[in-house]
Amino acid sequence: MLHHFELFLACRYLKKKRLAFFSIAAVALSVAMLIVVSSVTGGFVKQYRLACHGSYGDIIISADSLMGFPYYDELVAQARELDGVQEATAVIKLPGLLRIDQPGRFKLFVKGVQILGIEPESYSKTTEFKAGLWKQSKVDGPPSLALPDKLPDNPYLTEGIKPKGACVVGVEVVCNRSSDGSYQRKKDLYGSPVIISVMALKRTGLIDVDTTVRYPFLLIDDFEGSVPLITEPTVYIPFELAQKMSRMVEYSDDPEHFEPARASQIQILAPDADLQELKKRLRGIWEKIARDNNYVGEAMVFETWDEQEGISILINQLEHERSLMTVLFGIMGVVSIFLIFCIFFVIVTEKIPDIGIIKSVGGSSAGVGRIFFVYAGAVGVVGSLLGLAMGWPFVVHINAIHDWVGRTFGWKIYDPRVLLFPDIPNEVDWSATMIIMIAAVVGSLIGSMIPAVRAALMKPIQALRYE
Amino acid sequence: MNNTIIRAENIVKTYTSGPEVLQVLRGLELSVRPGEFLAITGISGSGKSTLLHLLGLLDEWDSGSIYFDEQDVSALSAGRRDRLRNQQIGFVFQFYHLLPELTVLENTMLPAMVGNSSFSWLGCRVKMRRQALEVLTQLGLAERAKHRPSQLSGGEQQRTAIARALINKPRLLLADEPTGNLDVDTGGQILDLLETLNSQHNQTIIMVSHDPDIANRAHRRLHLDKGRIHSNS
Ligand SMILES: Nc1ncnc2c1ncn2[C@@H]1O[C@H](COP(=O)(O)OP(=O)(O)OP(=O)(O)O)[C@@H](O)[C@H]1O
Ligand SMILES: [Mg+2]
Repeated sequence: MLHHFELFLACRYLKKKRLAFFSIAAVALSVAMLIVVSSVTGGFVKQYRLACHGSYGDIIISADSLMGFPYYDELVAQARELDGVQEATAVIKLPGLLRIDQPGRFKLFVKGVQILGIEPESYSKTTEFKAGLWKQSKVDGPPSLALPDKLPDNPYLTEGIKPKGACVVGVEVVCNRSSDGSYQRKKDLYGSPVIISVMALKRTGLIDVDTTVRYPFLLIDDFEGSVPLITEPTVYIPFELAQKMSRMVEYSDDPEHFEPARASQIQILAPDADLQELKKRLRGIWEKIARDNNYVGEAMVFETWDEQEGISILINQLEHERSLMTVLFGIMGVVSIFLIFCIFFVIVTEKIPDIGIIKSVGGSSAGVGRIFFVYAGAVGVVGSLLGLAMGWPFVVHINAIHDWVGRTFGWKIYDPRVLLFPDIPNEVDWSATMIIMIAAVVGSLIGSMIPAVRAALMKPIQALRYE
Repeated sequence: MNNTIIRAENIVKTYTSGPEVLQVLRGLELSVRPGEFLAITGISGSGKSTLLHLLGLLDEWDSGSIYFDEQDVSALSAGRRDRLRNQQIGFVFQFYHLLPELTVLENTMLPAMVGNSSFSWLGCRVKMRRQALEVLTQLGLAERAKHRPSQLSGGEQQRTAIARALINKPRLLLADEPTGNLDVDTGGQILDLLETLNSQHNQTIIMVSHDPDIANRAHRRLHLDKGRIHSNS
């Protein structure tokens, strides 16, 4: 059991020894550094996952072909009935061209884009679409892709142009990003016409060279996704128009033959469900629908949001980088344990005469060892608390600190144009922090073990005569 | 032979440093009765400190036995020996050996702290403090209780060391050249103190000194030469 004098002397040494402050500082700095690194890197992974997740819902069912798949409405309806499913929405995806129709202002601004046909209401319930809209995010109710009752007063909206519907463009399609990561919006773009053209595909899957499909749209808003680097430049248009443009509408060339309408993808929101289980059930439902309708088509892909190819690779990579960082900084932690060992070796050596005195008045070997063990434990506890006190506010204010360093010294380490998010993550990863702090205390004890045992094993007279 | 407090029988002690073997004690015999004030003299290097360290259980010897209260101490466990050192023996070193981080009062209380578990310390802390202050007052150190050793003169440090040695009311007090580093007057005060302890409290004292004048203050004198004790009265 701990004797009073062991505690008493440990405290006294802690108060009186400058070296103790060095070892506390070593522990505190390592702890603070590890808290910052693991919180920030962990924050990136978390933010990234959240952002990706937000753009897709939880489960994505897609046809592995530009031709899409039929009976999507049945699948959506049945999916909505499943336990845990909150929303399901069908999407049409097709490649196309976007031309901004502002004669005289742009010299034929044309971009290749991915066209996403969506039902704004269900799509914005399934994904975080609405939050990313520049104008409509501030408006109550679901976003809309309907034409306004009265067309806006826009110089480019001339008599000859009759928009078929409204569209929302991905912000990166039309705006440049400035160095602070925000987009510079050209305000007069909104309310002006654009022309979207797509390649018409025949039922055979070949381009119909005789027909070009091009529809004028009214550009009403832009969408700033939370993962700009992996999403393709996208234009959002109403589902029905996209279906028509891609010729996925139902079709019949003779009374005997009827082709049902198609969609490219179904996205499903089921935040609390067991996604693997849900995936299986959805696949079962789809197989039954296909069987009932004698449909034999392309293989369908059922994926959770993070199983999608681009995302899983990126997340994996981020997580690997994070582990690597943690290991590297863990090595620095080992270095600080060694530092503690050195400091304690010096402290114990310096205290050898004291050890002799304590033993000469009847102090036991275990007691002497415990003095230094308590001392080391206190260094670990005080050091890691201090480390927390430094690391925590640092993480919370990391963006302000970064800005200040940038302003004062001209260093900008974090470039929002290159990285995914406008801000550095500033949430403390508490579970990692707990582990780091416990490891610091254990590390201090390990670092002091050899010196403490050495102190304990000295014979009294050996210690008294030590020079 | 039954009423000795400490007895050494045929003690041999050698120091080995590298190839050199130095036999300091060569079959030493000594017995001390309770209440004695004994002085051991000898030239420098004769092994006086060595002997005192053995009697104080601070070091190990090669052969022979030491009996404390007729109990063979080499038969005791390390824990029992620690306890014996703590409770029954007070040691005053030639070079004081105080803990620099502790005050005079704390240095004095150290053996009391060491001898008590946290629990029993809670119970006797106040009593021990009072006792320590009493001893310090006796030794004329009451005003210095809050000072650190580095702020004290040599004589005051030595008196603090004596206070520490006495705090647990040990039955045997061992003093190694207690006046060795002090001027004659201060040394005289220390000797007066030891004499008083012996005469008024019947404190058993074994004192070591190379100075025959100092040794003469004791009631029995022995001489250490060539590793053995010689009676020289
Ligand atoms: N740890 C040691 N290793 C080797 N030799 C030692 C050791 N300690 C003491 N000696 C030697 O043993 C002999 C006796 O030493 P000791 O300190 O007992 O003498 P002393 O009689 O107390 O002398 P002094 O009057 O100078 O204090 C000396 O020759 C000393 O050099
Ligand atoms: Mg000596």
